[in-house]
Amino acid sequence: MITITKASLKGLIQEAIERINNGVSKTLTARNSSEKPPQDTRHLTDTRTRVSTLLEYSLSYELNNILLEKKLEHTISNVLWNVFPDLVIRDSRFNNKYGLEIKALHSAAEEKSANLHTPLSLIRKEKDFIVILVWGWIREQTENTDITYPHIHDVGIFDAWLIAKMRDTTWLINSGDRVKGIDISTPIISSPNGGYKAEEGNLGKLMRIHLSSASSPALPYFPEMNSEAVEYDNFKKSIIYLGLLETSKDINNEINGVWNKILRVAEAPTSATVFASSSLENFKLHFIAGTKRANADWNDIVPSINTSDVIIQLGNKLDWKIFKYDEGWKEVLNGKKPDIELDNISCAIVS
Amino acid sequence: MPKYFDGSRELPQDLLIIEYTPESFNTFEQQSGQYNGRFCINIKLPGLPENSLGYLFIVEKNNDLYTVLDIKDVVHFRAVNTTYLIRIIKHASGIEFDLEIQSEFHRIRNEVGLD
Repeated sequence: MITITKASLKGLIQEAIERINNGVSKTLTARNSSEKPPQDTRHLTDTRTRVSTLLEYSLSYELNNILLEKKLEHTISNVLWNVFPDLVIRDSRFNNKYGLEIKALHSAAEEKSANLHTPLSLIRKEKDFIVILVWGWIREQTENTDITYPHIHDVGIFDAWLIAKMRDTTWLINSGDRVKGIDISTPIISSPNGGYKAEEGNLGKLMRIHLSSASSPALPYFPEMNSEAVEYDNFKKSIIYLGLLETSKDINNEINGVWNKILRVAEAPTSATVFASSSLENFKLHFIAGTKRANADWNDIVPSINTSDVIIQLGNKLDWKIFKYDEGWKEVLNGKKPDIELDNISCAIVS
Repeated sequence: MPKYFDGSRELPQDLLIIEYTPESFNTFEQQSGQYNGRFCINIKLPGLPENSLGYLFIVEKNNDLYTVLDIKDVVHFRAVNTTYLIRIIKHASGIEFDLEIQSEFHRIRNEVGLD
């Protein structure tokens, strides 16, 4: 019999992810790289939803196989009625022992919009976990094939109860001039017309959950919540940086450059810094993350830059700006969603 | 998350506000003894803004037994005594995790069809 903890679960899930990345993802969810998917926003969202569902199913399938192969006397069931949690780990008597809520985030999505809106009262402390899979498209070429498939780059596992408690605490603290409360079925906010209205869906966006610095250490379970908050914040920062790196690779692939990672850190820089570059025959494309001070010069930020080079600055939400030299560095184009604007971006870079 | 209800709804006029400390519930019976019929119990955890409702529990008290409802008047627990009510309150407001109460919330969620 096994006792599931965050640490033991992480080992099992990482093994399952390796199987997915090297197995079903390369057939079940792969495409021939020459098949270009629709680039409009609706289809892009639909694609991400389908990939998320298939990754969740693949994870349950592989995890179940691992538990059976290792004779760990547990199995995995999918919860079919679409409520928290997505998967249940059952013991040999088929009792529901642990829950896994799976969230698959596309690293290149500008708004990683998965939610945890389940009320605290429905979550089991130390038994229900949020499993965040961060995936991105990978192109793999062999002698005979050229495929693009969703590759899981990273995984974060968190105690769902502590995350939900963190979510509620910060939401109640950040009230502004509104009156907020949490009813047993829904969070409520004072209505300008009197009475209270139900919260409309902003509570629980995964990338926005954090523990407010105004949280009182006198809160029940504060030390545990605080420790989970630190780990969760670090994971969110790594997701943001991964999004920047993956977007730079996508742009590089579009212009057929040679991509090079410059900055070997775990999270995105806060002040303007080159984190990757793309080398082409006649020029170099420099990828910058972080805020540029108004009086800073690109020549200081990018050492030994040539006037034929191109700069692309990416924000944490993947908003982008392209700069070229024309009697000084000037912005030539900008946009918000690089994944649906790759044609425009590559034209602006190579023109 | 779909909205749990449209428009706006009122809370009961009578509020029993409990500013949480580890000793808060020692005097709960005395405090709730002053209320009858439908009222709202507000649990204000440390550090919340002055105007916060905190976690709230709408209850209807009858002969020292409580029915616990949500803001849409959906009944979640019927005829529970004070000890059990305190366990519900402590669990749902994150003061003290209680596996048995969690399991009841889960059963009720599936029964009443909450998302």
